[in-house]
Amino acid sequence: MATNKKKGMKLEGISLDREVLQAMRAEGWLVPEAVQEVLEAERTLADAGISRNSSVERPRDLLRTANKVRSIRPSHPVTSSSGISDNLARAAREGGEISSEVEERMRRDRDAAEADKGD
Amino acid sequence: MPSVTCTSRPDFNSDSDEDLLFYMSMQEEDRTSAEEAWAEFYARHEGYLLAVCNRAFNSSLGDLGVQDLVQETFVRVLKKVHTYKPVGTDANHARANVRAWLGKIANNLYLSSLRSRPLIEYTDDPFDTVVDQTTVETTEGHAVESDMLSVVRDALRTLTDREREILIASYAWYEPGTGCKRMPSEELKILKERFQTTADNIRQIRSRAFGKLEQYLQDHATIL
Repeated sequence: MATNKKKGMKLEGISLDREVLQAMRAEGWLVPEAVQEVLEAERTLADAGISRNSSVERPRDLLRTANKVRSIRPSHPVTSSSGISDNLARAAREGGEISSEVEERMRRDRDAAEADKGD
Repeated sequence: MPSVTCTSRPDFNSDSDEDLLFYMSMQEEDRTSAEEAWAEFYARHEGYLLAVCNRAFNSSLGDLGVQDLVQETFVRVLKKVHTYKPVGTDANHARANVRAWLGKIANNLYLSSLRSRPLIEYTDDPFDTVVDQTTVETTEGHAVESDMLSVVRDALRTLTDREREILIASYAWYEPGTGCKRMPSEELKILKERFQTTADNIRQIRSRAFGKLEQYLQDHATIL
């Protein structure tokens, strides 16, 4: 008899949380953490023809900011994966409407800059 | 591993992934070469990591959040390079091993970002203890584990997008060996905002997700 009353995933009294986490990775809900999972993901991604273009022109510049406070925050509400690719500079140059996500990014950069000034 | 040479090198194109990590590990002796090796490493693996992070986290982080996560993962690589355990000369296996290690860093950063909300006031309702940490031991070993994994994967595919998001958030509090902490009220608040619903409804969705998984397993898992 399965039960989920505050005890996670169980079947016949055996916890299945480890299997659920493993299955989440295998399904792509989390990032692969095992060699076999990586190989499967590589196959899936190749089959899907997913673009692997770099998002950064000069990667080493990232190291210049490595000691700054960086945040990884969710964007809300949920957005589609294909909608937003403009960066801040482009938005500023073009002077068009700025999306909520870009605004959020601007706010985060400003917060980080102010935090730096405060150091 | 390559022989130790700490002179500046202009090009790392022909070096293996594990060699690049080795040069990065020498950053105190030769920072320039370490950064060049890192840049080559970044170029080789950024596309993969971006793709798997997008697949996993785009619905919760958005495009820019995923980019932040990927970039932060690579920054951590240079800091944590000494924790990498090399696997040898098979280039395919080494590449997959390197990417598995990158995956662990990315998942940890993502889950840490969920856990590090400023308001860590635990809720007093039972949207809470997710894990009873009982190890699964069976006489059939890996074959059984693999069969069960397959059934659990099938079960996960029966969930809706909302159920999926809430299940992932629940498992963000999974702590092997100690069981799961309660979900901070801030995280619950974020879920409420994301799905434009109430805390009660979030709890019901989570409960329904677990119920669907368990019902599926009851119906399909005949190996226990």
